[in-house]
Amino acid sequence: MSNIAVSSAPHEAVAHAHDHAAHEHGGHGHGHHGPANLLHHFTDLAQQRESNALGMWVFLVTEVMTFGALFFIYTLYRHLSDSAAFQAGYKAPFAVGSALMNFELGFINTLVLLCSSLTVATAVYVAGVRNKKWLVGMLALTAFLGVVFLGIKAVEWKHDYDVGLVPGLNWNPESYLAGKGYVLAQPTGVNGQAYIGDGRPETVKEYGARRLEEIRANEAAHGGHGGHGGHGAHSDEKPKPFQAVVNGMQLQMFFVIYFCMTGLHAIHMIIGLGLISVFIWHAKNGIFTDIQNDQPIEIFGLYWHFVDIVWIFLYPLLYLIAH
Amino acid sequence: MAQPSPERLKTQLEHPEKVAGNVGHAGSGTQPENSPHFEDHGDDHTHHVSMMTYYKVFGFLMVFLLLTVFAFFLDKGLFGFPGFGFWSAPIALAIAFAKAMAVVLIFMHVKFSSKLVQIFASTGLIFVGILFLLTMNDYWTRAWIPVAGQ
Repeated sequence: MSNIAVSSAPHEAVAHAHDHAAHEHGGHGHGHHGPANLLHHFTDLAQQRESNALGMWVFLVTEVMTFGALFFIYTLYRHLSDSAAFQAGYKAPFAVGSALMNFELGFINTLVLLCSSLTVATAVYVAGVRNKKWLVGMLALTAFLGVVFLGIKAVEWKHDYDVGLVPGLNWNPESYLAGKGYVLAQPTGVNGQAYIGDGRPETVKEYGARRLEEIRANEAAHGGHGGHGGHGAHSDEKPKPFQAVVNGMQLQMFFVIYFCMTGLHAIHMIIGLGLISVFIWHAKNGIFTDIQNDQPIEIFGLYWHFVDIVWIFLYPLLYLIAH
Repeated sequence: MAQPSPERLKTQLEHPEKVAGNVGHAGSGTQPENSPHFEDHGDDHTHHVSMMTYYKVFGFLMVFLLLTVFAFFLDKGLFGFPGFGFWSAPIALAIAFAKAMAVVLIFMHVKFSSKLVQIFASTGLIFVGILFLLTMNDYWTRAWIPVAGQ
């Protein structure tokens, strides 16, 4: 982004039929072809602004396709596992996974990101009116909200790790699920289709209730020990009554998708925070306010709003699945 | 690379209204700075959005966030509501889409941008739409016909 440099570029010889020096614009002097932040391959600031916006939007379209692919994986697996669960009489694994998310923290995170969108839009506005103090303040506030978001995410992930919900790392959620009243169907049979019980003729509900009792009896007998899943239900929470049987492999798939999508989103947030710090430093030096130079802030705003939009879609799809 | 003939170049620069396309038009970046058709007001065509608009959109986003959560609880059976059934996901997505549109159009200034930027912004949506539609078209209809192996 060399248009944030204030130093003046050497005047280029431009092939014109008429004398260039006879037509000065807005008192720039010294034969510059525009203000200091106007790059030489643009004729005027309007064209530069348009190109900046267009370039950023092309990048954002590629990002939409990237996240779109992940959203598609979500859609496909939710559709497939819901159909399978419906046929088997189990609860939809995505609904169970969503029930295991922290509702309050997810809501607060969404609130935080929506506020950060407002603060970054305000930053663009105050850069437009060349108010340095407010620009630095708004960028700092946006950064703070971003850090809050990542902190809450870290808390959520730490909890998931503690109860054994991280696929590929320590997937062992049986006792945690039992505390919440969920029973994993034992995956046997063709294509990992869950199979009810041990061949005894019983309904899904009977199987689930019976299995839940077994698990709780096991835990009581062994003093609640079982690797990382040993925490089971939170110590301050009573074990819930039987809720549903759920396919463990498909539940694991939900968590794979959850960690991949929120992980990629968190990476984007971290990149955004890195960019903000650079921008705060430049803003303090007056790069954006000494002359009318709000274009970089506007472009950064586009990126930040995009990251917010991804979360706007992620939140209901991951946290608010009712059934 | 083919260049316009001198006559055509003259027409483009002096009578841009006779030429189709963007070349030679004021504000296109294709007129030299000293031409009478050059249009540079010294500003950069920033459309200034007022803070009031931003606050209104923020209010809209807050309302729709509450709506999202309310729809979730309704779906779970709040007030004895039977739930949305198949329509859970479409409703949740519609609300999320409304929020996203508010952010894209106002916060990201797409409403005030040129047609070119608007087209590029909607391209993302269109291609993601193709991804979803054409691929789900396969998976969603797999169980419809009883064929061995499906």
